Amino acid sequence: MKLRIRLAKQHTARFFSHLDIQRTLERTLRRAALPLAYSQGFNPHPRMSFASALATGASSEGEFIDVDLTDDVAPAEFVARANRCTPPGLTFVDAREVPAKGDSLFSLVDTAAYRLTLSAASVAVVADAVAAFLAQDVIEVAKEGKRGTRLVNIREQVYDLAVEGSLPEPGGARVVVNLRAVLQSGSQGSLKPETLAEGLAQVSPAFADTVLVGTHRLMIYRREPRTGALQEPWDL
Amino acid sequence: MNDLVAKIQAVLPQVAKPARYTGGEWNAIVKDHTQVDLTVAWTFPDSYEVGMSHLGSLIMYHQINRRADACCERAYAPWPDMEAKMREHNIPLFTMETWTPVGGFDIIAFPLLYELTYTNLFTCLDLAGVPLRSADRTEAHPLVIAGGPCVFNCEPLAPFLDVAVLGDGEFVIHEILDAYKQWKEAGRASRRELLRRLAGITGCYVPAFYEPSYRPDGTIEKYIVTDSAAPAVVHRATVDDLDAIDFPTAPVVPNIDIVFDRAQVEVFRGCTRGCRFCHAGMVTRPVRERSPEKVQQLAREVVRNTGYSELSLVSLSTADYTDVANTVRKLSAEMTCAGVNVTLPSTRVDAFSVQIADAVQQVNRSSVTLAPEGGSARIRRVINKTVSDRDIRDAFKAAFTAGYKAIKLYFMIGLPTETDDDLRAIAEKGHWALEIAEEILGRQEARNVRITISVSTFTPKAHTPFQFEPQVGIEETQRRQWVVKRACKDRRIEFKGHHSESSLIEVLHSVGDRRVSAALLRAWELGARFDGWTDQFRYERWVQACVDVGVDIKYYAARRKGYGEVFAWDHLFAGVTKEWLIDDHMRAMAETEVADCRWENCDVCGACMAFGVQPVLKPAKEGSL
Ligand code: SF4
Repeated sequence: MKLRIRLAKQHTARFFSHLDIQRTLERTLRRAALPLAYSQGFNPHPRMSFASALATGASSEGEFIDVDLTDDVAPAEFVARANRCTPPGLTFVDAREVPAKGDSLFSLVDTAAYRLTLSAASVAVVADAVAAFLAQDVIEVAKEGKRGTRLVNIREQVYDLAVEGSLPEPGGARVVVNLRAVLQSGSQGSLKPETLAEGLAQVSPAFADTVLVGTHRLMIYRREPRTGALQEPWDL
Repeated sequence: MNDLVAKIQAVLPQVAKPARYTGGEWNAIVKDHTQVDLTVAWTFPDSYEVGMSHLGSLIMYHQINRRADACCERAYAPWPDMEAKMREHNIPLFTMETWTPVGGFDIIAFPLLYELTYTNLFTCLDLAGVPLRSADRTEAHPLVIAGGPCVFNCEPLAPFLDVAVLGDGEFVIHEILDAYKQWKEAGRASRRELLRRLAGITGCYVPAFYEPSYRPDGTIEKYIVTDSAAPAVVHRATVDDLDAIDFPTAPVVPNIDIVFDRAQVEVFRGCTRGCRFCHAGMVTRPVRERSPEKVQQLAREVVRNTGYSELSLVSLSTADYTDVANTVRKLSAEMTCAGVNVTLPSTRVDAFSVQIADAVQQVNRSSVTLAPEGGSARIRRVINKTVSDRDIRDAFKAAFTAGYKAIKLYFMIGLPTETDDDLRAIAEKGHWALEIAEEILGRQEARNVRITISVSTFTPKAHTPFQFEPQVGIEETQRRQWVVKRACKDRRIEFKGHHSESSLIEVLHSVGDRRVSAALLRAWELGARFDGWTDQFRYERWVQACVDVGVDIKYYAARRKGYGEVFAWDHLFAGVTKEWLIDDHMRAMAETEVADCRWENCDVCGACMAFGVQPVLKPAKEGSL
């Protein structure tokens, strides 16, 4: 059977690289004595597939993996058993059965929602930059690629952007602003939160001294291009 | 959130591999400091990736933490990028488990596995806010102890260590903790009183209680014991039965990739093959095996508790383990279906070992690693590496028959009595391998065979029969490397020579005395860090440091020492007597081999008599396999 699993990584676990997570999950599931299916060959690996890599240092409650099992395990039991064997910071949030022969997660999802934490001079600075950003159709940012630097229109990679709340920074004149961002993230292209911040500074010079201090991934989706409707991995 | 935590969190995203510093691993033990009487910061003077691979550290972490009254947390030397950030933001060295400053622990313990980590010890102490010199520490400072193979000559670090702990740590650590606890409960009266108590424990060396004097020619005149609590000669602590000691079956599992990223079970301790350059084989005598039943039980537990996909049966030479074939076969059969590979850390040079390695080493089938150490049969007699030319050929045959396409060969150059013929014999072994490959695989297939010849430079180590020998020096090392390289006449043979300059600095540490301590400290002040890493090591820095403090590197590295000389490590007894070392050195010069005492007669090296132990071999019990 194949289970689709939602994971959260927080605290120290946010410093795990993609490979670290892969290795750690393998070990976690082995400790939990769950019936993993292994690949063939001299160096067998559990058959797991990951949605998309998240930058080291970012936290998340929207990581997804598919795991092949040799025996049936009730999803709730899988989650409970796995959670007894995870290192601190890594949590299995949910699991559901998916068709064993379905497409790979990686090819299915193309969008991610983030909560970005900014240290800014004021809420207005961020709100103005967001408004200016959304008002335009083309915002080009230089992107380093394999074939040199090229300009990318990042505006079309941003599906939603909104200030969600703010707090005064302890002891300082600045404020901490939370920004909700829905960005393209998949095999067709991805917009990194850092690049988004660059774009905001470009449309609104007052934004330039704003610092992206935290990236938290909320969820990943498949986006219907015409309607803009977002589907969670469960429904794919 | 306290201030330190906030500061650490702020710098972590700015350094390479932040998970080196965060902790949060599976099986890490987090205790409430208010509920224990003693706290120990186990501080590894190298990177997290190296430190976490060290089985001895996992053993000691377990030994301390299994006490209800003590807690042991880990710290590692920060990589230079992290050190810079810590200094910039005033972050003290902190532990992985609870991010507690190391300077606030009762005891700081440094495992010393490799000489070129010594400067990192200064970084750790300095970042912990602890005075570097033992003499400058007060009752309020942590006790600074060190253990591991290097402490058998810890004189270059003598001014900085409160106590050096010689030998097996499993029992002696509890004696140390008990003594510390009594001293602490009695009100931490005087630091000297604590050191006097510790000096009375077998295995504990308190450098402050020993005072060397020197002759005009620079050699040591004598060591005077300055405190009645200290013995004239400090004996090593020795565990006699491995089955009777607790082994960590739930070791900390790293979150990031480390050097030895696998489950480890120690199958025996000690090695009496008697290679004359080998420090490990001289300071761990005699051989003490763990029973196969126990090894298998521990292996199952450690794999279950960690989730590792690889299990390594470790020792100084696992192919020598009495029950190796059965234990390996049995564990392999059990574990392969669960996706776990059984591996051996190194391969002895003979067909049997290659076959065992092949039976299990499914991870890396591409190459097999062999260490004949000496090129010619003659030089192998000199160094007592009892491997015959035939063993070497048989090992090659077994490797190609098993389907390996690459062989890595390790040799040492600069050995006592070495001639250019011995050097050319190294390259010859590469050509032998190619000939055998052609015989077995055919000319066509043999075209793709790769032979790597790695040569390191002989470095004299304290307590070995070659302690009297000099190192050949940088130019001569390079010339000898060139002789080997030029004799490798096939493009399928790749030659790799070891850094001659870092080998030279290693000698300064390995056979240095107390006067060398000033050079170590000066090198650190000049920026020396992680000297064991080629990308971090700067030879000029060490030369400068030695000039600044008036230490002559040549005196330590290039001088042949007399049999009658007093050495800086003579008062530290690792097991082999100086008389035996002299005898064995003479046998080396006569090209005479000595048999392994675990299978043949006792050679009366001194270890068993002094420590009340004997070689322990443990065949499998009838009917258990
Ligand atoms: S005393 Fe004898 S048996 Fe013991 S280690 Fe030495 S040579 Fe071997």
